[in-house]
Amino acid sequence: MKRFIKCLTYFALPFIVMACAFEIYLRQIDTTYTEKEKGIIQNQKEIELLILGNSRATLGIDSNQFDLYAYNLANVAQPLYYDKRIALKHLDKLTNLKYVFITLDCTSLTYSRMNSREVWSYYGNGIEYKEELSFFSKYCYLKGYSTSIALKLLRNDISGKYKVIKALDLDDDYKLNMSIRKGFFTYKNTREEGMSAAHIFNRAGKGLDQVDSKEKKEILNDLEDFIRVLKAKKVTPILLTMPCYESYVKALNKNIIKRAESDFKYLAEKYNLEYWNYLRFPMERTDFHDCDHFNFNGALKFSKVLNTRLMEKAKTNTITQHL
Amino acid sequence: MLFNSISFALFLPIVFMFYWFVCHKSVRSQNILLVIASYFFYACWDWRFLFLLVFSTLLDYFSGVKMAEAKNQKIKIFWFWLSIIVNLGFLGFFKYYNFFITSFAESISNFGLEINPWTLNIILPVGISFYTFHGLSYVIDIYKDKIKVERNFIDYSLFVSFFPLLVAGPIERATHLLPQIQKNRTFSFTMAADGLRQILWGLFKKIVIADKCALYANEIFNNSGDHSGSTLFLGAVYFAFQIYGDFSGYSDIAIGTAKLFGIDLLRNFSFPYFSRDIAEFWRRWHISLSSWFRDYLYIPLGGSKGGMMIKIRNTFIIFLVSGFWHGANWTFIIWGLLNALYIMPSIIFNTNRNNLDIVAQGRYLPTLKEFIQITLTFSLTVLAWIFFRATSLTHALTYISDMFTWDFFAMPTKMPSNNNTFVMLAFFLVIEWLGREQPFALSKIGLKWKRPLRWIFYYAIIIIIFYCLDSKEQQFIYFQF
Repeated sequence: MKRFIKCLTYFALPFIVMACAFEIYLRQIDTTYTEKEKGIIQNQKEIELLILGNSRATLGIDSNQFDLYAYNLANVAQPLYYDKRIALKHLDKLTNLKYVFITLDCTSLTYSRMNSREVWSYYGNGIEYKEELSFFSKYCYLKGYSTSIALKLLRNDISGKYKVIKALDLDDDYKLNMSIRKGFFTYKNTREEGMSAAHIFNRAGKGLDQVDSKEKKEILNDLEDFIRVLKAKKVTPILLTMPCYESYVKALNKNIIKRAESDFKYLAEKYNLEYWNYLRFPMERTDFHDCDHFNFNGALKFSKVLNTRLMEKAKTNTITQHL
Repeated sequence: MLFNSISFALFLPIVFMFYWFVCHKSVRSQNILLVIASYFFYACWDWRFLFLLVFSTLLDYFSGVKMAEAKNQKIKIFWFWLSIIVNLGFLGFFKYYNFFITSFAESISNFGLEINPWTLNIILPVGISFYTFHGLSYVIDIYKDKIKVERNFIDYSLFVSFFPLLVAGPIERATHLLPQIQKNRTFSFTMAADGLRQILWGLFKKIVIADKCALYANEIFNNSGDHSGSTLFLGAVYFAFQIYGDFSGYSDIAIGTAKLFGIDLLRNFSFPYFSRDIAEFWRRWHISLSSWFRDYLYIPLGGSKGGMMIKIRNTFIIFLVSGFWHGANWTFIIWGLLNALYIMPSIIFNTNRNNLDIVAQGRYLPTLKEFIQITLTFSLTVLAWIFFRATSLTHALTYISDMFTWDFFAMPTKMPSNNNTFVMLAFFLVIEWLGREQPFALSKIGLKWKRPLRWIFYYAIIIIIFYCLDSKEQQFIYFQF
């Protein structure tokens, strides 16, 4: 028995040492989530506009193009559940906050999970989905990230390409020479495969209609609660749908679009909000990375459009207040 | 608690330490520890179903005792049938109720009668098919006076609930496991090291082969309408490796874990994809279930005695029941029937026991004839797996008809993003081939090498496993059965 334990210990020792070293390394590495968290804490007194949403807002709204101090707190695949909780976590300290862009798309009211990204988000901002994260994932980064992701992070780190942006799921399509500024980073160009008919067909859910999600009521109630909290804090929420490439919009099932737009309009009317629907907003093919995400050019152009409209709104609000 | 989880990686050493360092003085305390550990292991899934397991254990235990003490045949028959009916009743209720009630509703709707049947909205208690079969084999053996009754409740509980085999087998027999539970167990370095090697190879099969192949198989099966014939064939091949890696991987981990406690479980797989005909395949695939059906269904039905027609009938019954055992879905039933059809020529021409030896025994490579036989048998099983994996009969038939089109000969469109999966599959097949004469592939490979070299080989396998490990443990397919 002693021989067995001795052999096993010697055999396992290199792995134990390696696992501990990896764990320490992973706890120190920056990701888009930790970068965004750090950024919002550093600039909390200046922030006037907060941008929430999933990858379309993450990569498509350049917070640096706004006259107001904007901060992009959106993340890839981030559902409304997380938008709300991440924003509320900082809300009391955002003393200068005036507007919040709540970006919505056809599927925003149908899902509230983001699978493997949930733990990545948790390590960055501490927000957990209904306290469902497993004990080991919470406290062991190596388990949470998985060995393959951890190795990818290490590879990215060692390669030197990712010195400016260190993020969890970066690939070569990101604009790596640009650091994350005001929470914004984006794609550098157009990926032809992402604009292909097959990709568009699949991204658009094969044009099929979807039965309303069982979660829809819960998500809607949660969103309404978020809107009420923002309004109580004298912050103006603006509902926003991001532009997509025209072929993608055409490929989407019309009923899904109709239902989503009607839900968002209803919310806007109920809470006296503005709903800025840019889904069919004309943009060039070269503005997109793929059929439903902007690249650097698209984000730049569209953010300027948003800024102009926001400034007009701000001006009207100021006049109304003076009157 | 999955075998491929951190929880199990902590649970196993703790139980191991207590077993050999604290409870080593008496077999009774070792057995008590294993029963407690097994119940804890099971409760980690859903503690409420633990009551079902305990009830089933109590019923079979008392039925056994009452049958042994019965003064006349009537009492013995009463307890025998009580146990059989209650056990199969639970299994039928949890596993097949929804299937029967919805099939009934669908069939009477053809006559214009619409009913909205009440269906069960609960998950299937994990392992119910396995521990029910443990209990059934025990009760049947007692009834037939093949074994003596077990009067020690702890020993009997351990026989039913021993945690390595509790949720997905191998399906043990009282004649094999109970004597091991009753006797004193001393630690054996060789057995424990062999167990660790088997666990390692089981993890490799599950994490590197099954989980990786699952990614592609799922993608192709879930979007089968989008893919070419050759891609669909590749999808079915991926699934063939997925299910083999998944289930035989599980069995290897279970058998390896039991070895750490000095217990030898029944073999469940014996390199089935190197079989030269379907009969050989079924002697090598899920051996503990096949032999269970042979002993408790095929032989009582008359087996191969009584003429060709009886033999054919019994073979069809066995495969039909085997398919149905896997799940309440027509796809499993057709999968079973298809396998019965495959095996039928060898039954009729009496060639089903032609290949009892190990393929290419003592040689590195098979002969051309053997190679063709292996390829043909594998292709037939791949075709049958389509029914097993498909969500419905329509899905399976559409999949097959889409597969056999002209683009079957074109290059597959859904290939892995890099060559790692193919390299791993090739490595896996080579190791399995080299180890095919042993109980498991890694059993003897490297044993004669010098320790540093041997350890490097094991380290390499562990590194590959860690590299392929997903942040979320993937469930084993056979847990749903």
